[in-house]
Amino acid sequence: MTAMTTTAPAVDRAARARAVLAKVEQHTSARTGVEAADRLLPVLPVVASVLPQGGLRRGSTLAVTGSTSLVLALVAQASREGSWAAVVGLPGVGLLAAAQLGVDLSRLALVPHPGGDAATVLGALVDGVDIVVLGPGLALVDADRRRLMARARERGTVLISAAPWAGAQVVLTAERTRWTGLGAGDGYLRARELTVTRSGRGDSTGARLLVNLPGGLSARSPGSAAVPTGAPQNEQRGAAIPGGTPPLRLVG
Amino acid sequence: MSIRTVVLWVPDWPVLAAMTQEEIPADQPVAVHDGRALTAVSAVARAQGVRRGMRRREAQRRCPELVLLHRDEGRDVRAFEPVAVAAETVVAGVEVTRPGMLLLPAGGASRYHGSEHVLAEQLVTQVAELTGHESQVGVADGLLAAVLAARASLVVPPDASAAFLAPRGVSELLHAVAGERAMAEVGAFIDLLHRLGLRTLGALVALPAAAVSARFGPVGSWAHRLARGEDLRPAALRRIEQDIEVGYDFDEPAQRVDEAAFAARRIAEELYTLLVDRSASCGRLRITARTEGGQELVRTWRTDIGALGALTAARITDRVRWQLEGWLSGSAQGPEPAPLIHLGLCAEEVVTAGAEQELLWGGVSGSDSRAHRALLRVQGLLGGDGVLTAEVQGGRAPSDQVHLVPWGQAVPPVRPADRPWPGRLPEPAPATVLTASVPARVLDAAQRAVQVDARLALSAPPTLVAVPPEPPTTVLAWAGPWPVAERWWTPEGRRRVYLQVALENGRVLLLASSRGVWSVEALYD
Repeated sequence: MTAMTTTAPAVDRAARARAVLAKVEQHTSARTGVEAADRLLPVLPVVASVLPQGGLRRGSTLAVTGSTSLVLALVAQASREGSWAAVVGLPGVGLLAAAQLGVDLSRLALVPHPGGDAATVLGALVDGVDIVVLGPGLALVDADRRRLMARARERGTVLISAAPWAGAQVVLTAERTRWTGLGAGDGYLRARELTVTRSGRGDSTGARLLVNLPGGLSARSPGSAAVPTGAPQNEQRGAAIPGGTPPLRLVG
Repeated sequence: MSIRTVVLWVPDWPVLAAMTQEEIPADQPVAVHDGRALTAVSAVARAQGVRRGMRRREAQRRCPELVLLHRDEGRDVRAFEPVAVAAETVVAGVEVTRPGMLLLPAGGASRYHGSEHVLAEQLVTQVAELTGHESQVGVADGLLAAVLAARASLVVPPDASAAFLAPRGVSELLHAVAGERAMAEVGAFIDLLHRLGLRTLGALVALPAAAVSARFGPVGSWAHRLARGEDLRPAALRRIEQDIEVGYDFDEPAQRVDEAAFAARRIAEELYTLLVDRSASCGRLRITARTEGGQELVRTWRTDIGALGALTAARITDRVRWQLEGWLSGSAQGPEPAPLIHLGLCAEEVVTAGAEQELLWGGVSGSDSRAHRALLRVQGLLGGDGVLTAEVQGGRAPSDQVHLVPWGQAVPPVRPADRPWPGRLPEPAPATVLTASVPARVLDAAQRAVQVDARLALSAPPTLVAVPPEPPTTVLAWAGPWPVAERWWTPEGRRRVYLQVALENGRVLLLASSRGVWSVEALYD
């Protein structure tokens, strides 16, 4: 008992000392702390393992195609923790879904139709906002895209493109979304399971991952409430979410 | 440590306010109740034995012709405003302690008017002449003594307040509190004092202050202080800042935006100068444009989130221009475009510069103001409606549950979100809501169109869904139909039937049928 009480603060102090040391080293450029935790924007636990570093690296560019929900889920946690986000060129984004996934709408700005000024608008937003979501069909040429990425890298802004984006560090493709809860004239959509392929620069593995997105933060554990509709899949179902273990496994 | 204080008291204010509003003659017995018991009683009713705190039935038994009115604190405050204004014709600043009671420091005002008696007379006369309410004025040292003096229409000589208070009962402390909870707390304290045998204020004052504070806590020290005839704080005098309004009348009706913007620039500078002259700033800016046809387009902007000296002439001009551009080009909703004859700017919620209430932890944080700057810049590029923010509001369809506002504009949500909204589509909401619904065909196994009949049943289970130009796709699973009939009592009523379908090509759609026509409303992607 006494041993416990004496070691716990000791560990705490050691960790604190290490953190301070790391900060000083970074400050004096003794170590380039690119992977430092404050360079990562947090994401919801359910999507953390989809990203190579478990968070959105500041200054990086992601291309997320096939699922708007996945885009919103990536933004949610950072938005809740005080980051600003802007959604450009996606007039149909489901804001109610965003709110249900945990996005703080008071820190979300929408620019539904940037028109011909897209490059200037995005430039201004990259300067001031932490996460910029880009829709398809923006009037951008390749040079604009490169300039935007460079600016985002410099400013520490995360660009998430909902359309293919040449040169993105992380490319997430939602190949398939399997919904549960829907029957033949009964039930309602409750939970979804996304099969996401990850690729991108320096990542040739093409990992395939399963993501269970809840309906909302208020929704109960999706696996337990789910009513399987079709035949059982040959892959193991991600129904095993007892007590909040990450519902994500490497399958291919 | 006590200030010479004047208190103006209008007896039975809640009843008087209610009678004024309901236009009940003064000879009728009236009482105000909060659903359980009477909270205020008029003089006529009191003469017939009706008392505060009585049950309604008991009161009606004593006085069958008693008129009972509901309590309305908003009404009390609103109706008291003219009284405060009338008192301000005599003295420069007053503090409204609660509806029915005003407080002001006597020193300067009584010197100006000659004596405290003259000041009291002036106040009573002005209030009676301008509002028609009878009031009583008391002058004494300290708040409690002044309040009690007002109840007796007395002028207590200087330094005599302690002696004036000493023989009075401790229950008189109740007159110095406002608010129900404070009233209950003080009531319990007075009850305790009675049980301890401390029946007069003098007996309370005779105890050492430290001992009272130690035994009775904050209420005790508050009461001890008041009973000594001292003040808790100096009167918080109100200084009313009027809204500042400037306007421009066009000699020739303005047809083009740049003409109007030129005028806007001039009045914006005028407003800015006026604000600077008064060393004031404002919380909101209202822009009004009137057309030849007499229609008005009004928009209100919040100035606090503009950050960075939010109100410069250039920025005001920008706002006017966005508003007019959206309107004259006919893209925004509003009255028909027409030449302008008048343009007005009004600074609302004017406060003395430096007196704005900041957030508890300071103003906006660094990242917030950085984002505000960026969004302002984008708004400058695209116009006011180019940048939107959203808020969740009540409603049933996914698009109805989001309230979109141009960034920085002050528009409250139309429908409250905290109501049940029966028939609302279940969570999760679709991640893509189509801005314009796309027509679709829903077919059954025999390739016939699926209909919804009067009893809201489907003619057959849907097996194929075709969203032109794509070929028909098989339905794997579906749910519904969920009928929603909204606002059917108005011309813009809407009857719809919703259907969730999962298709073979992997898409999951929200379909809606209205007047027999199916359309895709949203995608669950």
